[in-house]
Amino acid sequence: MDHFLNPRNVGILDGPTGTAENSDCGDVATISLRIEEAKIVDARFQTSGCSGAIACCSAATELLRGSTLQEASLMTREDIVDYLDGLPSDKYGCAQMAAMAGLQAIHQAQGSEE
Amino acid sequence: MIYLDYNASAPLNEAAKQAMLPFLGDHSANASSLHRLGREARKAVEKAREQVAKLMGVVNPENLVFTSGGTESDVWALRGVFEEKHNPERNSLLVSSVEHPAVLDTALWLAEQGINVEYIEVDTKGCLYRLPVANQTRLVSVMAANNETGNLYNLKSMALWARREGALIHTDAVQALGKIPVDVDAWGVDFCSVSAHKIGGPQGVGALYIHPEATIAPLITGGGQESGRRSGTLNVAGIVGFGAVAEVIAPRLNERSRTMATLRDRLESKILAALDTVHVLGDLEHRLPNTSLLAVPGIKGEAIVLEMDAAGVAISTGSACSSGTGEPSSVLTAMKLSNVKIQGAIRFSVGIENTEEEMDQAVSALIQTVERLHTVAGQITNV
Repeated sequence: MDHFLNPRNVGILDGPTGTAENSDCGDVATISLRIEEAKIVDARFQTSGCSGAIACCSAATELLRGSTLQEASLMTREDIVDYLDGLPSDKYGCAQMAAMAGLQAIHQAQGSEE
Repeated sequence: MIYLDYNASAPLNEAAKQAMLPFLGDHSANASSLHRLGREARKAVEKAREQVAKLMGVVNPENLVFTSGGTESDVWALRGVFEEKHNPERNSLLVSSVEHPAVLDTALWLAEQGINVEYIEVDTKGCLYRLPVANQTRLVSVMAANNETGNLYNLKSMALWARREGALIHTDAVQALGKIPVDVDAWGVDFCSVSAHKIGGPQGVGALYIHPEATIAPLITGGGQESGRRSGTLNVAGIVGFGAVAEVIAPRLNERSRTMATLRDRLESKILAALDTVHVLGDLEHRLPNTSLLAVPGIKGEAIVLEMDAAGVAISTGSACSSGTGEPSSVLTAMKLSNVKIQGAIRFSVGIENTEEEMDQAVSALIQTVERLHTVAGQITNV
């Protein structure tokens, strides 16, 4: 609830950006990253989704910030659920969407590195 | 908490609560018992029947049967009519596509039992616009007022049409009662469902009006209470509370309607003035005086409701995402509104206990909520 009412890291960065859709409801989210020396120094999100989408994106950006690209690429839906101390099962699609948006941004970053 | 969700449930009226208390304490007894306490309970039930009948525009209270609420009344009217075995060639049910789930789900159930179900479609304002050609219709069911949009439907003309077709007509007046004049006898309907808790009575009580010439099989069989029409020990305290609040409302109905309309109009006009993307859904010319269904494009109604809740204002989505299924409102879907409007629908429903200050505070809370959620959304828009 706190991550919904006080979401962290709202916004967009001029860096690798991933967009994902929640197949359950059509909500969309983007997560964008700023990367320095293979480390995520900042992560921001935007979503027009429900409370779950906002909370999950907030959690995902918190998890991403400070991680290496290698660590971050292992982030799963369950990591987001755990970070939020659990989530109603009907909101798992929101966590999946946030994880996918994050992973897409990471893939873009890894692609541009190579 | 600023409570603006009266269409979901109205707070228990003080007179209703006081009237109920004896029957939750020393006076609790079975209204079918022969002893003094039983007879007193029975007397209280009959007084309540008169009080509720008066608010419904029913001259003969004997035509009212108490039930467990609006849903039971709706389900009974539909299933009870089709349980009757005479006239088997009349096998069709005609319902509007914006009925409460109690009617729509029962219609689906009846369809599974082999009943031919037809729907009256609505336009984007939720107005009925096409009556299917009558096809051996046994029962028509059209609500008096819609729970989400607040739209009012002309029961008098629907009842005339049904009569001409030789069909019975049921109306769900759960949302209309206590907000606008409900005049069952003048409407000429055969069945009418009402609920206590929507008007400030207790939850778990309702009634079904049954026209004396209309035949309907019981839904609940057993001890033969309510003249054999609805078995089960009477919920005396609940029924007494229903009667008490009906008596409070009946002489003040018009004044109450005006108060609600003043509050609702203040709220709505201030919101529309402050938020130019917001617009009102429904039939603005024929609407309950207390209801305002708004579309806030680009953000989720669910997120608005939860954030307003945190800000101390209780509102509801357009019945969307009910029980977290994520399924859009059947009413708004029937109105063929875009997904953006459906997802961003929020409902304010005020009551006479609300104040003008509360309206203004709710407007401020909504403005802040919408601005914040727009910031979170940024350039993202759902399709």
